[in-house]
Amino acid sequence: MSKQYLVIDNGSYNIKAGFNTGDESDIRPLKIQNALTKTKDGVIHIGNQYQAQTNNFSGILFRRPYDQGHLTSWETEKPIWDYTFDELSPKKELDPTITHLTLTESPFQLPQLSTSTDQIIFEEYGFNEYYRCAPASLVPWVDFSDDAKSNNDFMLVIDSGFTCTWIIPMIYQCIHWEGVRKLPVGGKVLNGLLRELISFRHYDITDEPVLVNTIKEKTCFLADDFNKALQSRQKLQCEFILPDFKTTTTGYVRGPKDKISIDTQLLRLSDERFAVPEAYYHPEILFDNNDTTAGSSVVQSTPLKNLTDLVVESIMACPEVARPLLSANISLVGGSVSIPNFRNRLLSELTKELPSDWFVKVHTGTGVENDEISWLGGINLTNDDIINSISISKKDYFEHGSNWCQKQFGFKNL
Amino acid sequence: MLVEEIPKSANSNSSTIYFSSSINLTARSTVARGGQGQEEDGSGASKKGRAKVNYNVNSLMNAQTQVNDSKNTSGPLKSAQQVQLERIVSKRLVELNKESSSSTFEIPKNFNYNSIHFNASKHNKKSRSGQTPTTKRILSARRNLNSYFEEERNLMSINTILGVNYQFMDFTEVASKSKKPKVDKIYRPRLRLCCICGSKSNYSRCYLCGLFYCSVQCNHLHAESRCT
Repeated sequence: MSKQYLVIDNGSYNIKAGFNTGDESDIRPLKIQNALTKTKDGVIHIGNQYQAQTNNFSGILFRRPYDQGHLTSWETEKPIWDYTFDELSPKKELDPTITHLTLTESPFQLPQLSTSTDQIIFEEYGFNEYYRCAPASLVPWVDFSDDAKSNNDFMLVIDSGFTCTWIIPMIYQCIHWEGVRKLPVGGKVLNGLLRELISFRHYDITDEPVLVNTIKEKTCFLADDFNKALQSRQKLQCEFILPDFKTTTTGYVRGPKDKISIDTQLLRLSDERFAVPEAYYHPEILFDNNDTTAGSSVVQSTPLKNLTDLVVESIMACPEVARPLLSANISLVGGSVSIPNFRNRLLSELTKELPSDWFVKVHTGTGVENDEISWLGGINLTNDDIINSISISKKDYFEHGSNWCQKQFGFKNL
Repeated sequence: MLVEEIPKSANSNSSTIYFSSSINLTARSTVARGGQGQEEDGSGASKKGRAKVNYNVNSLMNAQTQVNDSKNTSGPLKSAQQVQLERIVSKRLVELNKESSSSTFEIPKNFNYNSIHFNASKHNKKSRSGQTPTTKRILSARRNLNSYFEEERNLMSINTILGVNYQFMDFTEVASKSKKPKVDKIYRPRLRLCCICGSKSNYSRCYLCGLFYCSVQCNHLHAESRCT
């Protein structure tokens, strides 16, 4: 049996997993929700199971293996992984002894938890070879080129996921740790903010995490100019039809010609649509809508940095010659990047902040979904010969131990 | 602070390493080194009568890293204000990150996922509990993030990891507020949004709770509904 390559992008929202089949065209990862869910009837579902088995998501509870971006709970993660492996190869049991695993974990993971991951990989599953890295470090392996030659040696990766947003400069395919920045705004925080806004203004949806996520994905966008959008918010209003469990179970945005019956419940959303994602550029939105943080003078007097500030800071923390190269090659990855207009807004904000003689270019994936880019990079990496020199085999692990493993894959202290 | 006696309950607290040196008053120095507290008691008994100094290695390391850091930042690590700020901000972020009002559920003891390739004869009920002692420990840990942070020995790593979380706030400005304000960095004005209708409200703010409002109507509504 020949060696097979498995790539798992272990995101806090979705696991993206798939084999390198060697088929260049149309490869897509399997996406499994990285959570155990418990529905109102007390049944526990793994991964995507809940979507098929119930159509009433009210009062659903999520248990995620990630806590504040750290993979803390392997007792939660293990069943999800087992389920994922079954979905990956339904015909034949996955044989880890002939499998090379490329796994991602969020940057600045607590070393002890990374070590736990290594131990599970080798001792519990028994994978033959293994490479672990941050998702962003796989991104340079993806061709973003709309032009002929893309520059993969200097790349600034903005990875906006479910937990937070990472800004990571990649220089010669290595993470430049001094330039790594984090903005604690991600899909989950936006969900929380939207939930608070809608629960205050319209209906109480505090126990409807799936619905909140759907509303965010279907209606939210980033405004080109927030003040202008606020003035013309009546024009930007949309109507979201809430699920009635007869005609729709998820809810949808009302089209211009959709007829609705009299008893349909709907949300009229106007400024919520763009005020929520605006948290990327005005993080104070997160704090001003709450009694304790709005009333605290310390919070009010501290200047907060937004996405643009952190990107500029990150670029400036890199060697001087690399800076214009990085600004000309900014790549957006992660699920939250899919918020409409994310790229254009970032481009216009960055052009204002960076020196005028620098090129600013922001790429998004072409022909590939934003949250699958890192995974695709992993697949491309396994096609390259270099993978053999950076991986760790099971033999190495049992000879040198888990601390050595962490030394190979871990981050650099600042 | 650095020199402390080994507490009586040293055996239970195994995460703390003590380093002890026997100071020989007759200048013939022999250094006894004990690993954990338990061994320590044994070696202490054999050299009765000698003065012994016990160093808490954790606090030594703590002091070491703090000395290193203070060279960079030239000052105390964190001001009280900064600590307070971090606490408020992280509390709010945790609140926003909660997905539903009730907290998450515990996995029941009998919960198990059986692979579709599960073969009862080959695997004998080991699938949940772990194959080796190490993985058994990891898979039954049920610990939260804080307990991992407390256990982490390498304080440099912790400083790095926690520092990353608060990168989006500018502490230098807070620290130097009492002195003359800096002019090299100009901050954009904060976005003030009415807590009732979401319009801009640059000037008016509730004197009781600090929330913003844009008009008299909104203020009335605010006082009736949100103001605490």
